Amino acid sequence: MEFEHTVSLVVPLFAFFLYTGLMILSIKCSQSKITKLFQYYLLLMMDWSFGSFMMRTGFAPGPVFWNRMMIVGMAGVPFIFYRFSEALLCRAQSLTARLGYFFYVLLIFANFKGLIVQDVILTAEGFDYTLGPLAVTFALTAGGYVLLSTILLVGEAFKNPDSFWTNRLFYPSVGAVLMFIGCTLNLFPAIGKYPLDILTNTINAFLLTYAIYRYQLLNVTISIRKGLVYSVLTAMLTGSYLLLVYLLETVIRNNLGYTAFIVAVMMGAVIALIFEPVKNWLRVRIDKVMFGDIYDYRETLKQFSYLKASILDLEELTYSTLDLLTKALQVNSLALLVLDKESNYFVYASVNIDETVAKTMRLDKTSPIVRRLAQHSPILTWQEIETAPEFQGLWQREKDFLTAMKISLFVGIKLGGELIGILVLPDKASRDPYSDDDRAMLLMLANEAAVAIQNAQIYSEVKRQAVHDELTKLFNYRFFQEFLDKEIARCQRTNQIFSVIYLDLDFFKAYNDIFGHLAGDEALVYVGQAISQSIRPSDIATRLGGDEFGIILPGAGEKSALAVAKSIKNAVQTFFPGTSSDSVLTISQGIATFPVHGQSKQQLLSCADAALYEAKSMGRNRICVYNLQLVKGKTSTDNLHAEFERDFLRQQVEDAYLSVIYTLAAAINAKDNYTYQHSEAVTYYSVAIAEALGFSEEQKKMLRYSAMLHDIGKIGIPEYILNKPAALTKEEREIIESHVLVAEAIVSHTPYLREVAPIILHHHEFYDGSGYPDGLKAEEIPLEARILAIADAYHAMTSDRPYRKGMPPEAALQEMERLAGKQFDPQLLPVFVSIIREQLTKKAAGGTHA
Amino acid sequence: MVTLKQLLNEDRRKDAWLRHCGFIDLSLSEFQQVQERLLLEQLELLAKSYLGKKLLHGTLPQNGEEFRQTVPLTTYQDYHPYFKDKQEDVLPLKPSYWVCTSGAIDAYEYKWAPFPPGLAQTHIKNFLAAVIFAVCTKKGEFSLNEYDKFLYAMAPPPYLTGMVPYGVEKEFPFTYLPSLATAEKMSFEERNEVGFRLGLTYGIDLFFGVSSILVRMGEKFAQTKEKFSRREKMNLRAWLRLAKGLMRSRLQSRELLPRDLWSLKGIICAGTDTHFYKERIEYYWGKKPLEIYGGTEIGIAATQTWDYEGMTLFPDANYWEFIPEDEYFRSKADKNYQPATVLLPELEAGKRYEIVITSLKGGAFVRYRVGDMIRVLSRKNTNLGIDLPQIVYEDRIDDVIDLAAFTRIYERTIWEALKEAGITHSNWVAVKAFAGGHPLVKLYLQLPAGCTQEVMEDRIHQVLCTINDDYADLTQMMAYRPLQLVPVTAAAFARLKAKQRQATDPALWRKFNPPEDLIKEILTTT
Repeated sequence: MEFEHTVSLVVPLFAFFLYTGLMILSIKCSQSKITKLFQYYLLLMMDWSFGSFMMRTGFAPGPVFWNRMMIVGMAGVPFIFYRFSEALLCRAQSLTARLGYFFYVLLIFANFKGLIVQDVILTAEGFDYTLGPLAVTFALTAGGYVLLSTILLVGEAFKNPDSFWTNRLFYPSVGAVLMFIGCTLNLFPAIGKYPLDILTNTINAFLLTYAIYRYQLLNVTISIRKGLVYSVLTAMLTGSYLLLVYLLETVIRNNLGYTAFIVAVMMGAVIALIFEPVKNWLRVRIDKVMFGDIYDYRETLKQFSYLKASILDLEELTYSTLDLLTKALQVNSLALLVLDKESNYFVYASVNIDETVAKTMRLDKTSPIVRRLAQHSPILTWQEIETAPEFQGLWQREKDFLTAMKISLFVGIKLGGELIGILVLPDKASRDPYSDDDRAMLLMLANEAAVAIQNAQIYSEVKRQAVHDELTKLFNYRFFQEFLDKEIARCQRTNQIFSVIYLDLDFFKAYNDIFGHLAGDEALVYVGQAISQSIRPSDIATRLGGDEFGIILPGAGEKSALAVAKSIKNAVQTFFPGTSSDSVLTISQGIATFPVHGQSKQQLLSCADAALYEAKSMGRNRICVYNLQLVKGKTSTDNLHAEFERDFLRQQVEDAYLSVIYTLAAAINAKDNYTYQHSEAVTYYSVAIAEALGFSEEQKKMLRYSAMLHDIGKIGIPEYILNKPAALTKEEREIIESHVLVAEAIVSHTPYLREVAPIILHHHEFYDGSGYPDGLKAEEIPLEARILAIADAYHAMTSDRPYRKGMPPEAALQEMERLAGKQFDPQLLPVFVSIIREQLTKKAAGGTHA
Repeated sequence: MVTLKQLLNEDRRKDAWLRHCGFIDLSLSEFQQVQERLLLEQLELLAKSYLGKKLLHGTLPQNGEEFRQTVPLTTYQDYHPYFKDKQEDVLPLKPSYWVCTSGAIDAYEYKWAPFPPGLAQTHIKNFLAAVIFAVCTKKGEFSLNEYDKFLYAMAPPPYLTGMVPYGVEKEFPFTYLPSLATAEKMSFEERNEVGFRLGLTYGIDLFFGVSSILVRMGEKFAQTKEKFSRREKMNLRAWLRLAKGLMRSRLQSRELLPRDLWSLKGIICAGTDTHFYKERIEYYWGKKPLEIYGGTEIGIAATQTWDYEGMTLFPDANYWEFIPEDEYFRSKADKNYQPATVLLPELEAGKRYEIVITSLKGGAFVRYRVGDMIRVLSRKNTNLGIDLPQIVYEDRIDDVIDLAAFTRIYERTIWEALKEAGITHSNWVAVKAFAGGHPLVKLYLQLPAGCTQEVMEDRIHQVLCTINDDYADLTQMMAYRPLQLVPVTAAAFARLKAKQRQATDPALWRKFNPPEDLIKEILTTT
């Protein structure tokens, strides 16, 4: 009995502390309608529990008074709880709620008139009470309102399919049911003398506390909510402590006789041995129940640290991390946006997001979301986006995407102040909001991820560089070889075919010499781009080294490979425009197909190489498919390759000489742009005459070199003489005329160009013998020199010079015709004149230039 | 997106304030950032539409600066061929609805403007911002409840003001007096009368309407002795309200005023003359009216805040440009001249500017000259901590005389009225003036021989009532004559013309609405 009495004292006192704690915390919350109603509810509960405690103690003015005070609280709770339920459901105050206040006033009046409880007497076991005539009315009214609250909350919870609302309403609903039971029990004095009503209400308070924490029942900040839970714990412990002290004191007094010393010692032992461990144990249990997530977070972070240390592949790391997060945060989907080269954030990886949707999600650098994450807080909620004015600049398509995805949270991943990625999280599956702990964990993870992502990016870059050519961004030689091995193995296994194209730039050395290495590198990049544009994603384009490229075309036969090669040729011509004969840069390509031309890697590459050589030897700027008949009489592949190698060496030597020519031409260009342009034009006219005369390719080649270099000797002539506007003095004229000698001297020292030296030396001889340097006449002058003389004179006459204006073409031709047999070969001149006149006619008709 | 109703229900008042009124906390650069970004979105939309391509002249500017340099200014003439038949396929986005001007404007019978969904929502959001400002006492503190009684005394659909409550319904529920469906079937006058009568029973929390109506209602209360004696069907609540009002007025020993019957939480007024009526509205209704600036083409453009002084422009519905007054005059003098525009940060206090807008969020207007003049009060509102220019709506550009937001009088209206009144050849100058507490047209006229001023004023007034319904409504509802005829001698007009020939200020050359103080002396000196 003693124990029951003690319990019946401690429970209301405990409840009072609990409600007081809740009240203090609720005062710190923002004072909204719901908060205020909750406070009224707490106030009434405080009154109820305090009245109940005082009534049981028997303190003055007596149990009847305290009973009346207790009923003031007890009577109000059902009505205010009903209104609280309404407010929770965002409903306006109903007539039922207003009627509730009216009933409350009536019940208070009845209470003080003794119509609810007539009398209360303290007994040894506790207390007895006599119900008044309106006790049943009171119980029915109060119970009815609790029942209405329950129906309201449960009904809404069932009606609303939204899990967030269901969860939010579940705990208040259960609390309401318990309250209803507790109130109903008061109708039976035998049970009602025990504070079961307060007990059920206390449980209700716990449930509300839990709902406040988990489902943001009130607008309480997280720290306050945590504080609230720990306050409840402290209140609980204080109650338990009081109960324990009381029990101990009773046991000691009854069994050992009362001594203050013994009590003090026992209390010390209790506190030392039981209270602290119990407190800690309880705290841990509560942590697990209420803040169980924190444990999960620690686990998540631990796992992420492991991932970070063990995975270097960026893609793998990203997907593993996202997977980890979806589990830890219980989200159905999420995405990681990373920065691209255009400073846009695109979806790099996503979980459970439709690919087409993911592709549409792009945040550019001007997006207010990016700006906020980069410059301010690394965490951004959807609520802020909906409300903060800076987000008024958000585009509709961004809003549509974010709304469709139900994005709830953005977490910026920053490294060294730069926003390198954005983690995008939708609502949780449970619709619970992201707690402070969630955010703290995400922030920690974002910080860690920034370093990990950077490491992985570096690794990925190194990995990419290992198989890529840095200049052209194509694959490199190593990758070509590896892939070829694999492709041969695959095709042998599956009986499939593939082709290889070898591609080489024509006269690339000369191109480099003339235009410089920077331009040469640019040319390689262009060619790389041309190749990339022309192939399928499954094809492998590589730069094998220098100006050589290799392309592997899985599944492609000769025809398909030829089509690709043509496409590349066209693309290169687009980059380097010009006709096939005078294009700035051309390419030659050789094609071999597996297994038709070779069944081993060695054989296949030799065949592709041979085809390339054939293309080169046929005049370059063309494509050859490997064909054994290419090499007359040679059937042995080895012999064939020996032959090719020799020819190739010869070709290399010739290329080297040619590069000398281009270098010399570039030297002229650097000194005097007119001379360079003049040389190009003279080359064009000379070759035109040669073609009309049916010169062989070799003759044309020599003539082309001569024309290109005929004024090379002007390198040694001062510019003031070259560009002098006035007539030249005798000495100056001599200097000018010396340029043929200087040119001859230069080209004579170059073995391959020796053949062109006489042509250059005599291109200023006149047909009648009045020219220089040797005064040769008629047939004594080499044919090529006579051609050169015509081309040279025509271009010089038609060009503007500092000292005179260029003649119109027709006038120049007439003047030249006048000098036929004197200055120019009378046989050759008509050939030239007819060529030019034909071109002029075409030009007049809208054709090409003369 | 979240609605105001949700925010208030979820007890997120701070968020509600931020969402609607937070724009006043933007700095000038932040304001321009919002503008520039939304402009880029708009340019993208325009570039995909037929009308947009036409107006952009095939260009796609990459930023605001380039946009202003490459795209010419437009007038309604550029849109009329497509809008008169509501051609939606030429627009950047399909509109949710079309709104039109009330009555004839310029050369057009009606001016139509399309409102795509995003733009319409933005204007609704901004209108609610004005409502919140109207009911707020200080920054962030406002009282707004679901089903507050809203006396909405504005034109019905398809006018902009008529579309607004339908949009607002989705955001926040008000109880309209009378209900929207009922109001649509009533005339403007009926609607106001029924609204105030319902207000007697249910109370009025908010009013949105033309400021002159509020003044007229106040005057009616003050002037009529037996206001409600003949209203037989007043219910108990109405009688109680009346009794309470009477008690209040008796206690203060004065006539019964509307403020004795209703404690309005907020009054929102639109129209050119709100500032003119401000004090009288406060006297009659116990609350200062909050002025907003808007129009068919520009939607809800700017609002006053809780100090009821200058207005702040909304950043997210229109891209704002401003033609300085001197540039405006230059373009008036030379029709081919493209006036330069300035942006918000370049506005100077005390100066007047013509408004140029580009509709954002899929709207159709591109560098459109609205025809409104604003004056910049200050570059910021230091008292309230608003770092954005504070403007007042001056009036329509000088081609128009706006009378109490009821009607607009153009030069051709006067010509027509004079012709109908039998005056074909006579000197005249018309200006807007205020007299007897109301705005009116002051017509300086050289009277034909044998005509008295009274007779001629009567005749012109009657003609105006016939040819302009809104003018007639104004006369009837506000119970005053919005025309004042000032007889002027031929000699005075000769002096004026001489002065005009010498004047360097182009404003003085105008026949219609020249600055009155400049001409008054010349014309009234006989």
